[in-house]
Amino acid sequence: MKRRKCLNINKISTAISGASLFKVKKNLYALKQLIMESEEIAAKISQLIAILRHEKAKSVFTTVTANKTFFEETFKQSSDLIFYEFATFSGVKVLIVYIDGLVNKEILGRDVINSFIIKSKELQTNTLLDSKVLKDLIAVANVTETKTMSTVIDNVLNGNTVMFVDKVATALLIDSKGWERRAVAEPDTETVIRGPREGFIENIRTNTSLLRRKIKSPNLVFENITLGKQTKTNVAIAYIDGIVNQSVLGEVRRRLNKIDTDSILETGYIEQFIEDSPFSVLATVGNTQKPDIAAAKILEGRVAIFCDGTPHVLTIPHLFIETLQTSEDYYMRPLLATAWRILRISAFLISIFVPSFYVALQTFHQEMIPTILLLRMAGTNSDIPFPAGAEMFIMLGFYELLRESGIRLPRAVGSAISIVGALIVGESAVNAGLVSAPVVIITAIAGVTGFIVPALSEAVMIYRILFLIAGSVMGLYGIVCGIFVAVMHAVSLRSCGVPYTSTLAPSDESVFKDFIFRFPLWTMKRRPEAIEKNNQQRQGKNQW
Amino acid sequence: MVILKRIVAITLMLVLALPLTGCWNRRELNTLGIVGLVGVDTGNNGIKTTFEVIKPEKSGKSGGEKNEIPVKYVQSDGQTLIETFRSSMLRFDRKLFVAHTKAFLFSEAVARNGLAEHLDAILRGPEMRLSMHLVIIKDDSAADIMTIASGINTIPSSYIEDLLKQHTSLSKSVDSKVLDFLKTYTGKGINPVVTVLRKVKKAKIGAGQNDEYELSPEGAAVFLKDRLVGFLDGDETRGYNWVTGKVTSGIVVSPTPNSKGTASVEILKAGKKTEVEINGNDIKIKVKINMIGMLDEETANFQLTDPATIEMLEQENSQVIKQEAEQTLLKVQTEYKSDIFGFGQLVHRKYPQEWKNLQNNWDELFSQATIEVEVQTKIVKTGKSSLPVKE
Repeated sequence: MKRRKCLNINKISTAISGASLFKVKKNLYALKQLIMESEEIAAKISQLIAILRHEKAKSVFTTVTANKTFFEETFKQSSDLIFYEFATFSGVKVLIVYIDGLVNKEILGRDVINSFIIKSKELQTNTLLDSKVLKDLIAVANVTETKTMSTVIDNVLNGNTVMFVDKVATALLIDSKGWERRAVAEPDTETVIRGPREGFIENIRTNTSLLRRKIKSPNLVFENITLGKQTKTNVAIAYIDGIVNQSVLGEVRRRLNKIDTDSILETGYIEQFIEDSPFSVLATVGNTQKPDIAAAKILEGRVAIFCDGTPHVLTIPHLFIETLQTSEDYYMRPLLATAWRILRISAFLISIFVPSFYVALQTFHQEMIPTILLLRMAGTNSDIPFPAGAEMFIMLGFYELLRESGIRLPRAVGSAISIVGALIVGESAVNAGLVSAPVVIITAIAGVTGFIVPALSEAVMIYRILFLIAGSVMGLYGIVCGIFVAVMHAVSLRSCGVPYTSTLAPSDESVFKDFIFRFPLWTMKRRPEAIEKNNQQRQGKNQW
Repeated sequence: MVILKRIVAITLMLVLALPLTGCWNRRELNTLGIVGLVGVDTGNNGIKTTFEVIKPEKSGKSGGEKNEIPVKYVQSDGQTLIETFRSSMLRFDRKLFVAHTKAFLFSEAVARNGLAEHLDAILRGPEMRLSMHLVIIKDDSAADIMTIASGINTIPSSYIEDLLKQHTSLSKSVDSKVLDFLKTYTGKGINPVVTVLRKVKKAKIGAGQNDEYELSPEGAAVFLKDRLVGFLDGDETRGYNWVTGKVTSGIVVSPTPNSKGTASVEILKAGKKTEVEINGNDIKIKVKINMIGMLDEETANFQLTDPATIEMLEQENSQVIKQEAEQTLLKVQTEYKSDIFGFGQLVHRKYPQEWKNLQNNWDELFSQATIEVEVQTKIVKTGKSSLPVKE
């Protein structure tokens, strides 16, 4: 500043008698104090305004301090919320807010802060105030600007970094997500011999990318919604536009939007909110951990629901026939796949019915057992203190206990339980005459075959017990009644408007091509009629 | 409301279905006495029934203790089968369970008084099976026969069942189930033929043989309606089997042509064709039997390479078969006067109008009918060797 001749001082000295340099200095100092105080008050006022407005805050504040205060108040001084304040060379205050642990610090340090400081050096002071220019100063691909405070908060919670610049009423949202995550690995529950080993993980972005890598089509759509008032969980509806059954999609959207809850921690939460019959043993919403299965289901016209924080992806509609199919069925040659299917279906039936049949035959229909076998059974049973039904019930209960403890057990104790289980149940209980040997054999058969259809293993367990009760109370008549009720129940189920037993009842051509028999892929020219009614053609006609 | 209605409807349906299922009952396996054989003899009050109850094998105890007899017997007197059945239960610690009964044995005396009254209980009882073997015990009492098990099987019921299964090897016995008896007994123009079992002295060979007797199912029991009228021996039974086309396998032993030897021809396939002709009161029955056989053995050293020899052998065979059939027909016609061959059914089929008059005294008419037997034999194989062993 160019120093000028100060005319006013002379005037003051003439106007005010007794004015001296000392007095002036004193007054100036007092003024300075006053300004500082007023500035403090102004800051406090803006803070108060921020506090008062924070509930209904709609837009971003102009001052950095106000923004900071707002955040501090919103997050109740939570320790993982980090504020980083710095000034550019031209003295503009900049505030960066992020949650520790959710951001990639490498990106934050190198591409945001460093780049911003260096690039802003070359700019004029007043140009800095434009948010369009500000965006160019950050070396990150995904930078968006917003004026809405709620968006800012959501972004911070999702692992993005927010940048506020003084005198600019726009927040810059910088995509800098980066946190600890599990590597893509083979899921434990859906192991395969042939086929891809990768499975979904807990990160929704990784999961959608796994699916996108399978279906490289612009028609694959991920619709994002956020569910859970507290958890703000990211949920994505995935489908292929043009293949998806529109009515199912609409229904899924409607049901998801109706969810009004505190927390969504797993797709299991979503499943319970949207499923058709919550009190049924049979699930009307399917789930998978494997991208290839999810892709196949989407390609048949289903809708998938991804949820952040879980490797399980839901597929809707879920039909009974799906539980008997595995991904390997389609990777194997058709004849073998058919053999495996038959094996699986018979295992499913064996697992449900063998205990009840055994008890029914033994207590009601002894005439149906071959004489020699009957004599053997009578021999082994002659010392057993319990009726056959109770004996079977005890053994099945004990088996379920063993199985359940096997899952929850620390690995080091696991072998002890299996030894105790095998020895005590298999050997000693039989030798002591507490249970008969056939009951142990039947329990083992039912237990082992119960896992051949993993999607139904829980349902099989329940049905097994129910049929056992029916069979031991009323014999084969009870079992037939049970089948009657079970089938009626299954047929009455709906999965988002699609009958649960579709392709069997009501039946379509895939009941021949893809139920007991697995026809060659080139014969499956149409998508399952039950799911998609409009666009069924999936293959050309001239390949064979 | 709709759900409630549905639940009510389903429960109602299931409850109403309950009475449709007939007789069923819950019983534990270790309360049952599994009956293997039922034997009916004449007793003081009418009949005396013996039940063979099989002792189930204990698990985990294999080998040893094999000398122990694996069955128990319980016997009681009464007027009817069901009465004796129930009074036996009073004397036995297990509920008698007859669904696994292999055979119903009736002594000759009971059978001569008529089986129908006893079989009624079998037909009505829900536990009883119509596929049980029906056996007439010749010479001895049924209770006596039931203790014999001289084969590998130590359980008499299993022994008898397995023995009866072998009946096709010679075609010299018949296989009759309760159902067969009921069918032939109620059918017009046919009478039942029932399996016969009798005790035979067992040849003592070796030191380990303790069994004194063994059973033989050779022969058959001839019934007129439900009453036993007589027996056929082994050869006559085969004659019966020839005429009714029930021969499935067996050996025909015939003299060799032009030499003093014997030839055994194995029956590969046999069939029959029967024709009836009625001219007024004259009933003519023609039985055509044909047999395809294989030469198993010959002792006369003849040239089988010559087709003429084979033809002569076939002639001899036909002669033997014809004799067997004719002898049986003669015996049944003259002695028993019971149409066990079912010729009446043929008449019924061919002359339905005349049958109305004939059916009431058909058995009498049958005994006067002229029956012609014609046999055709064909030997198609001569075994692995075409040349005789003896030079």
